[in-house]
Amino acid sequence: MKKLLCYCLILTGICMGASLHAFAAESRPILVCSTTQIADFARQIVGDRCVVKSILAPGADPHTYIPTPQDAKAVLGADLALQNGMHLEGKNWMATLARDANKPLVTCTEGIRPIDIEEGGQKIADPHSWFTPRNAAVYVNNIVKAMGRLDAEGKSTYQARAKLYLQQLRVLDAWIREQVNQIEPQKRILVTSHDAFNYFCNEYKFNPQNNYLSLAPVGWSTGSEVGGGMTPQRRKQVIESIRSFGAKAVFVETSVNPKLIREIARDAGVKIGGSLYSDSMGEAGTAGETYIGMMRENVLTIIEALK
Amino acid sequence: MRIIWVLVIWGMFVGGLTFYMQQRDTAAMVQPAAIHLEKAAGRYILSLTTTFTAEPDPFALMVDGESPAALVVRLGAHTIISKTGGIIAGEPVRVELTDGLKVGANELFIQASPPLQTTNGAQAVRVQLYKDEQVLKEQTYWAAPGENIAQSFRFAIEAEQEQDGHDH
Repeated sequence: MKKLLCYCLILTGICMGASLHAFAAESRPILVCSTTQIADFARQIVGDRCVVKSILAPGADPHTYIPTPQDAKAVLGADLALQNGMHLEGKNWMATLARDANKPLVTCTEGIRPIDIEEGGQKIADPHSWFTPRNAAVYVNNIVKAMGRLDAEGKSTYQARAKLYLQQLRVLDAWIREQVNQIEPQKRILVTSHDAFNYFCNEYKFNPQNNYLSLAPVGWSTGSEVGGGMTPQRRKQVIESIRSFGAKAVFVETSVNPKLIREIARDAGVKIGGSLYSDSMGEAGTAGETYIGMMRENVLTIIEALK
Repeated sequence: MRIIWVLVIWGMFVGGLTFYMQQRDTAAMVQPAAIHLEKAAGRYILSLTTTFTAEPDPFALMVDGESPAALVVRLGAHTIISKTGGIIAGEPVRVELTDGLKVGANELFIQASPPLQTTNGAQAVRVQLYKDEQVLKEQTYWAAPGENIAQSFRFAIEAEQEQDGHDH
């Protein structure tokens, strides 16, 4: 009888193990995003219904990033790949990963009115378009549409979550305007490590002397693309601008080496106003780990330094 | 022979457990009572007046070809107003509520989108509901500059008294 009971228990154990294994194997759709911002937008929309992964880690630079074999494996195992586009991902690494893995790719900036930068006779669409909540809403709408196609059953919950998140973005926008209003329009001078803040400056009227565009020693990309990198002329021009415009501070970016901007601050005789999240959000557990948190902390840092 | 006994006992155990788990949640279910809603009688006019010129909401969800609206009024799943423009500050928008109102509690969802660039002064929407030209309920909803006004306008409609058709 004891033996009989023992066999029964063993058989039950085998069956339970098999069902647990089946449960553990991921059955939810997997989304792989190129940047931390896109991963955050996707998480706000899909909740726990999908697995969301980001190729870039917090603090990583999308312009100079070189994908690893693990990234290729992650995209291969995904149901959908999401990228920023407009050449933010240097040498189109996300599009290449998706193409090689034969996975559908969503470009989240589709529908955004780009700010064109003139460099060496060439027009370049600035890819840092998430820097206004209004543009972030375009990212969210593009992700919702793609999710509706990927998982029709979850469409209504994706839309419901997106509606709430879009209203949070609207509140964020109103809050930024109220905060920025504390600084007189002529004193809104924002100097950063690289030209990532064109959309922000244009929307909230920073750098009036520079046609409401970003002021930085390094171009739109930290990589070697046309209009990217730092030239001695740009460096000199930024130092002159800081002096003539009367900038109170310059700002370090979390995803860019701070050495150059520190040198510029020293040469121009201004303080470092703080560190801003730019091409990447903050580590988990920090105030900048979400898009809204990142924008909030950036605005508070800017306002405190320029007040 | 022993293996057959093992399979029989195991089958009974697993089968019983499965049967119990299937029945556990269904046993407690009861048929919900039917709710009868009586259609409201009378003529109802909704009037909305904004303190701002409403603009299409750039933060609206835009799927299935929808356009971002400046003013939306819904009664349950039915959209009564969805305007992308033409909402002028101080000019009332009037619409007759022809269908969907019931005796008892009713709720209209009202969303108006002020311009993003406004930074001075709070914004408001004045909502007035008329029944047969008499004000049934009125309320003003406020929002901070730039924020959407999204509110539930609740009101109750009483049942009409039975008209006695006989002359005495």
